[in-house]
Amino acid sequence: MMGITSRSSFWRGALLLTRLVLGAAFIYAGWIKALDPVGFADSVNSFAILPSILISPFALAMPIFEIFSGILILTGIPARLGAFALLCLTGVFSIALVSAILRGLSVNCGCFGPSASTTNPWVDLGRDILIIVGCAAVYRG
Amino acid sequence: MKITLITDLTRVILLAIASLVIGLAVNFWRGSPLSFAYHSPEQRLVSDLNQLITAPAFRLSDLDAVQLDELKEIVAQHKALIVDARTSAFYDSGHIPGAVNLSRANFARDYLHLRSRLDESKSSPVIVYCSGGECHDSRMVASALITLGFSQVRIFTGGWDAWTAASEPVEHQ
Repeated sequence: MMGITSRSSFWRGALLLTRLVLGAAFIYAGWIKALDPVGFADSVNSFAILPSILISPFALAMPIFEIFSGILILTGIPARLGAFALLCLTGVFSIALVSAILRGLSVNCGCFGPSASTTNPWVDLGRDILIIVGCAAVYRG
Repeated sequence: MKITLITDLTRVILLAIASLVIGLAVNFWRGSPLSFAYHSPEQRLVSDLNQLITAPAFRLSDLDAVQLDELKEIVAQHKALIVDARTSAFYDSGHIPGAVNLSRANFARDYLHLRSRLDESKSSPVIVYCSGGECHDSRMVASALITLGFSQVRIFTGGWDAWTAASEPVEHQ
C-alpha cells in the first residue's frame, strides 16, 4: 500500500515537472516566433509543404497556438487540453519533418526562433518524440 | 473514449481558429506586418534589387573615378573585380578581360547569378564601367553596389569606348 502511494506521488511529481517544462518551452517558443513572423514564415516555407497562400496565416496563428497551449498545460486549466493541443501540433510537425527528410530538404525548423542556418532534422525529430511522449503522459493523467 | 477524443479534437480546432484570429489581429497592428501574400527570401531580394537599381544614382562627383592608365595596371595585376554594366549582348561581343557582367538592365538576375563571387568582393576594390562617355549604367550599378554594402566601388568613366580606342586586350564570351 505504502509502495503504491509513493509510486503514485512520484508519478504526479513527474507529470507536474513535465507540464512545467513543456509549458515554459512552448510559451517561449511561441513568443520568439511571434516576434519575427517573417523569419518564421521563411522557416515554414523551407518545408515546401504548404502552398504560398497558406504560409502567412499559418505563421501568424501557430505562435499564438503554442503560447495558448503552453499556458493551458503550465497552469493546468485544463492541462489535458493543452497536452492534447501540443500532441497534435508536434505530431503534425513530426510528419512534416519526416517528409522533409525523405525529400532530402535542408530545413530550418524554426522551433525556437528563426535562424539563418539549417537545423539537424534528426535532432529535431528526437526532441519531438520526447515532447509527444510527455504530452501523451500528461493527457492520460 | 471516442467521444472524449472527438470533444478534445473539436476544442483544439477551436483553439487553432482563435489563434488565427488573434494572430491576424496582432499582425494588423504590427509596425511592419507580415504580408498576407507570402514572398520567399529570393523573391524579396529580387524585388529589393529591382527597386535599388531604379533609384536615383549617386552624382558622378561623389563616386571615385579610375583613369585608363590605372585601370590597365589593375586589370593586368587582377587587383580588382571589374564589372561590366552593359547588357549581355554587348558583354558577350567583347569586354575587358576578367570582367563580370552585372548589367543595369538585368541587375537582379545578374546579381543573383554572380552572388557568391560578388559577396567575396564586398570589401575589395570593384570597378564598374559601361559604354563610356555619357552612359549612366555604370553609375547606377555602382550606386546600387554601394547601397548593398560594397565599400570600395569606383567607376571607369572612359568605359568600353576608351578601352577599345586604346587598343587594349579584349575578352569574348
